[in-house]
Amino acid sequence: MSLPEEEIDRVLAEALAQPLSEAEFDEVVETVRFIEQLSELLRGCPLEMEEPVTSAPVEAGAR
Amino acid sequence: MSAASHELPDLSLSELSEQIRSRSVSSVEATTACLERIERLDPLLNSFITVTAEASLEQARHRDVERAAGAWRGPLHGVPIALKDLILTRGIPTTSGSDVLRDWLPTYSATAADRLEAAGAVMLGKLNMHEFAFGATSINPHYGPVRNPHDPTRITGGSSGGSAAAVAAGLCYGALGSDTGGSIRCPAALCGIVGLKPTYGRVSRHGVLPLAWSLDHVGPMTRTVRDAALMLQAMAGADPLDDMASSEPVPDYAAEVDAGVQGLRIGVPVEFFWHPVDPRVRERVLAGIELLARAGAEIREISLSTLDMARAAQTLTIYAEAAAAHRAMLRESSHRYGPTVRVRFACGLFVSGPDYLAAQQARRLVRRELARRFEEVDLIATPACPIPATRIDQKRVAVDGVEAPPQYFLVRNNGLFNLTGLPAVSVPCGMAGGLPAGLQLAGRPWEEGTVLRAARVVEQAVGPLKPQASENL
Repeated sequence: MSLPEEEIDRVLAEALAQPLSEAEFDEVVETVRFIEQLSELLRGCPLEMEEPVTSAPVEAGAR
Repeated sequence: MSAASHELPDLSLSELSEQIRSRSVSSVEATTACLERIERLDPLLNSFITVTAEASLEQARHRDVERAAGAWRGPLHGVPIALKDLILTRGIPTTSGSDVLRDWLPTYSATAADRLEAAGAVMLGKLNMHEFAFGATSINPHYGPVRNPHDPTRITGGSSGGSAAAVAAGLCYGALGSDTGGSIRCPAALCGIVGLKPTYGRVSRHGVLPLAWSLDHVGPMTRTVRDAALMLQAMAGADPLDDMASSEPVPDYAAEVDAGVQGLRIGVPVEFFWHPVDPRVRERVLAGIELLARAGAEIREISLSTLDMARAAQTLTIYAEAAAAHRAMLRESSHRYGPTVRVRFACGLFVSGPDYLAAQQARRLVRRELARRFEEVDLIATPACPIPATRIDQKRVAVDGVEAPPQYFLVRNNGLFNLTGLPAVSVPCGMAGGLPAGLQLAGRPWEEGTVLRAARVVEQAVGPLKPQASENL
C-alpha cells in the first residue's frame, strides 16, 4: 500500500528544518514509490525469519 | 637518477618512495613539486577544497630531518598524499563537501589519517567530493564540480571524485577515498587509476563521517597497484576506536602483488553486470579478462541468483542508514544541503523498520550465495563502471537501449560488494572512446592480496592511462 502524500508531507515537516520546494517534494514522492517497490520485492523473497539479523556484512569482521 | 622537479609528481608512490629512501629526492622537493602542480592545474580540476601548503612543507621538512638522521618510517616516508574531505583532520577544515560543515575544525583525526601520518606520509590537503558522499558525479553545488583530468568537460564519478582527479593528474601520489556503494571504484574507473575498497572491517572508519554505517569502507586510490598495497598496509588492522575494525591478521600486501594469476579461477557473472554497458567499455573489460586468461587464470562463467534482492537490500539500507546518520543535522540545517542530496536524505525517512530488517535478512542470503560462488572461484570480474565519464552538463545517457540519468549507471556494478563487504578493486583496463575504463575484481573476505595480484597482471599489460588533457593546461 502506498503512503499517502499527506503523510509524506507530515513526516518531512517534522524531520526537516525548512519545507522542500514543490519540485523537491515531487521527487521525494517518486523515490518513496520506488522504495515501496523495493520493499515489496523483498517481501516476495524467501527470507528466513528464524535467522538472527545482523547488519555487519562480514561476520568475521566483528571482533 | 632522480627526476627533474617538474616531473617528480609523475613518479608513482613506490618510485618516489625509493628515491626518498635513497635520499636522491627529499620530501620537501616532492611536496613542493606537488604544490606547484596543484597551483597550476587545480584551478581547473577543482579537486581540492583545502590545500595545507605551509603545514605540508613543515611536515616534509620534518621527514627530511628524520631521514638525514638515518630514520625511515617505511614506504610512505615523506610521500605527499591527500584525503577525501570527510576524513577528519584535527584543526583542518573537514566539510564533507557540504556548506553545513564549511567552518568545522575537528578536534581529532581519523584513525586512517593518523596511521598514514605515523607511516611518514605528508598530507597536502582535503579533497572535493559529492556532497556528504551521497551521489556519484562529484558535481558539488557548494565547491563546484570536480573535473576529469582526461577531459575537463566531463565528470570524475564519485563520490570520491576529488581523490581520483588529484591522483590521476599527479597532484598527489595517493589519496584516501570512501566507498558506500562504489564511491572509490567508480571515480577510479572514470579517471584511469587504481581504487581499492578493502574488506569491511579491514580499515578503521573511526573519524570518517558516515554515510551508511554497515556499507561504508575507507580505501586507497593510487596510480599503481603496488601503491595501493602500500597505502593499505599502513592503514589496515584492528582499532579500539572502531568496533568493526577487525583483528584479522594483516598480510604483507606488497609482497603478494607480483605473484601472478597462474591457477586462479576467475568467475564472470552472466547476469546483470553486462547490460546495460557501453560497448566500448565492454570491449576493454573483456580484453582485460582475456589478459588474465593469457596469464594463466581459468575463466569461468558463473550465475548469481540473488542480484535483484541484493540491489533492493543495498538501496534500502543506504537510504535508511543515511537518513539515520543525518537525522539531527537535517532537523537543524536541511536548508543548507544542496537540493539533490537534501531530497535523497529525506527519502531515507520512508524506509520502515521492518523493511530495513528485511533488507538485512536479504543481505544474509546474498552473502551466503557469494560465499558459495567463492568456493568455485577465487575472484569475480565485472566492468567497474558501465559507462565512460559523461559530460558535466549531461542529463541523460542512452546505453544498450536503456536511457537514464548518468547516476543510474555510475555505481550500478559496485554495490553488491558493499552489501557483502567483500574486497573489490577497479584497475584501468584501457581507453574506451578516448576515456578510461575500469575492470572490477572482487575476492573473498580478507583476500585483498589476491585481488591486487590480478589487478597487477592487468596493469602490467595495459600500462598507466596518463591524462592527455591535463598536460596542455
